[in-house]
Amino acid sequence: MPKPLIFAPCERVIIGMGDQAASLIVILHGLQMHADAIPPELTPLYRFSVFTQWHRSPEEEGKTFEQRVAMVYENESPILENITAFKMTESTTYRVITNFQKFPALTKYGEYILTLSIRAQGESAWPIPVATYPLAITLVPKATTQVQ
Amino acid sequence: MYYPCPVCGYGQMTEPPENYNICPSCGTEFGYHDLSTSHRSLRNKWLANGAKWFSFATPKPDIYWNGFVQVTGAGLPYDVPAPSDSFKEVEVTVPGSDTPEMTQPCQSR
Repeated sequence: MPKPLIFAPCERVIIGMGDQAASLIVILHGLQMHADAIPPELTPLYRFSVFTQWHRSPEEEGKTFEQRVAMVYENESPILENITAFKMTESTTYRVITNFQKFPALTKYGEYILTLSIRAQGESAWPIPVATYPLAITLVPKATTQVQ
Repeated sequence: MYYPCPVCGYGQMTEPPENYNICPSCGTEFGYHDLSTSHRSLRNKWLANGAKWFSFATPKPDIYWNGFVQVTGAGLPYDVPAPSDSFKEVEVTVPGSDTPEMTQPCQSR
């Protein structure tokens, strides 16, 4: 299986027009909610991207894989999931940029985990994640925000 | 002083593209390969074969080096379809209500 080189959520990914080099803007490690309490279901209107870069071995050239990015809270079911298929080309690395239009609905604050899994296309089961990335959702009371 | 390759657009040939000098990018031997074949035909053939870096002695300019991008960047015409890129960008719609709450990212330090 290809090896993950980079797995990072960020505000935006920019791909250079000429050299196609990737730049990550504002790498995230969490989100601050400016509210007194999380309502029953809160969907932060915050657009973010997840950047993954894979490195393949020589025998994996031309093969198609699927990556799965999911967001979970503790051991609960994923509240966010995206599966993207990609074919390893001649280049030894492949980059997948997943743009999420907003955060999924949150019901709790605390540490959410982004997970990254990979499988060959056609396989039915997802192996254990090859990478995880914690995202801290913290609450900042509005009163505190106003003082600042 | 550097010289551009008229076949692939590589801009750092250390010798002019003549007198049997070889481009490290596309491998064209000038004065031999282009004796009876046009540069455009050589370019098309190189691109159709995957636009692979030729030289073992001269490394690629960077790990994201791409022959099609190099040719395009040099403004050289070609007649073969470009391959898929080495990256994919997908847009994901997230279900759920749009609750207008102020949010602020915590940046990685």
